[in-house]
Amino acid sequence: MSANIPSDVISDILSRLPVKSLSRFKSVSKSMLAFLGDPEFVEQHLKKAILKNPNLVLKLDSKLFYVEDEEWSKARRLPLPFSLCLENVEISGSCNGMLCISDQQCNQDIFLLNPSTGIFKHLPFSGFDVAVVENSFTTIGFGYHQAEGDYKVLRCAYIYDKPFIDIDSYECEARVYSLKADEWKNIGAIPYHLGYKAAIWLGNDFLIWKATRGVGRAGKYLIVSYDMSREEFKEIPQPVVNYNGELHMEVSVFDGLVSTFYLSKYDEAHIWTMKEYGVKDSWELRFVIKLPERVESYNYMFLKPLVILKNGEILLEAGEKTRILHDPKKDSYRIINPIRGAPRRYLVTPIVGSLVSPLGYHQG
Amino acid sequence: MSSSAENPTLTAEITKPSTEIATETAQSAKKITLKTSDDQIFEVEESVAMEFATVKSFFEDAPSSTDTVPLPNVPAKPFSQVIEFCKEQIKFKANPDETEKKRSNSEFVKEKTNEDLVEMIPVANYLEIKDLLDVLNQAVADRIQNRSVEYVRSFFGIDNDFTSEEEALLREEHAWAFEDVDED
Repeated sequence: MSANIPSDVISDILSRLPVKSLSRFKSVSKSMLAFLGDPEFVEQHLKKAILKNPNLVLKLDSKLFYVEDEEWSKARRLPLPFSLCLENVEISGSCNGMLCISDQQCNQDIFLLNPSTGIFKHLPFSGFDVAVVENSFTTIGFGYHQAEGDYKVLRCAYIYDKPFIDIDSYECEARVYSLKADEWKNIGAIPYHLGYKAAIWLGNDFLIWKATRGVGRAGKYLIVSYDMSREEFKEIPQPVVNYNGELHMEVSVFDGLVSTFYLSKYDEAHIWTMKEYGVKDSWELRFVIKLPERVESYNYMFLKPLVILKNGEILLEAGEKTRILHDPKKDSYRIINPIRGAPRRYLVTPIVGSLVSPLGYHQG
Repeated sequence: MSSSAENPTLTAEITKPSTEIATETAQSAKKITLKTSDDQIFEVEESVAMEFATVKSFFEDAPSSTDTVPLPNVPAKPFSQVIEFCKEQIKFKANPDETEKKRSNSEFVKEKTNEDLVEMIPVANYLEIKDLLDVLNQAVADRIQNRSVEYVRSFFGIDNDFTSEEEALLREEHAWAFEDVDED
């Protein structure tokens, strides 16, 4: 490709660049264009991109904005040519630079979109044997199945055909989609009542949700995982904590580990992570984040950790209007300035800036 | 028993390592002779030459060799800059200080022209100096990140083989990527 630099060195140099630069450099030459679309290069680039601070997808109503510069200073509106198919535009997962987008109501139309390249795919329709009607509850999971080198989407439906008291006996069905095979497979019923509209991908072969069993006083929260290799659901043991019922518990992934956040209104967030997947004794209280008084607190409900950055700073969302960078080492807080071109209120989804394509993926 | 210096055994034990240190110092001062592709002769300290994995394995195969090592792919100009880098690196081997090392590395690349970088890369690659190649590749990535397509072509010496229609179409498809590009 280059007259003076070996091609594996060129490849190493390009793999360090953001997708925006690479999209521009597609116009350099035919060999460069072919090279940037090579699956091996896409993989090499992804490995480096994962180690960088993420880009941000901002969502306001059914509009998405993308922040892809290192300083998080500028947002551009993401064109969503498929948005007319959807009642709402909801983000149902983020994995290796691709978003899973659905309406999070019936989840009939599901799209995979790489916001860095704009390339998207409309997944084939996943029929259910159970009758999915208006009063059903559907949930989605999206992740990368390492063992098979495949992207998977899980769609589960519960039929609300009984009184709420029988929540555990609702008829349900789950189907899993393989991007490689481009088809859905029925994997039967789920022994848990999944509580989130969207699962969280752990970065390994597992998806996790907050789930429930029972209702009212007898009801309790569970952490449930879906193992993409064994195609089975399993409960993950929770940390032993002594928080009172006022706290809001959330299941998430933090620093690449299963984590739980205990959030209290207007006040603080406790972040626990499970050092060794599935091992109860490995739960650790990693951070207690207290918002100092000088940060105005009237405009948010919960202080929600989003992602831990490369330098150890933690990006927090304080309601829809305020984003904060917290440095636990210095115990400092910095409100992120308004991002040029972004709306004032938005929800944040961190995402890797990658070249992974939902279309080109299974062609190799 | 008074002072330990009077104990002959102990004295012997103390002096022994110091002789070893002396030998090591003598060894590290040993020079290796290298000949570049443009027939320039370089005499570099052995410790510096051992930073070049290619040269190191030459001596592993022939430990007692005193011959001049030919470097057929290495021109003198970038080679002298590579030596400059490796001399600095060795200091950090004895005294690891990541912050200082980063500062020194960025100082090193800062004062180099694009041409210097492009010439050094094949040398670092051929001599298998991993740290240097990493520093150079990152420097190139930083220099081209916000630059134009034309800048990148001339940087790497790549000819444009698109027709003007093909190129216009690609630019249109990736219009957002052409915003906020630095002036050449």
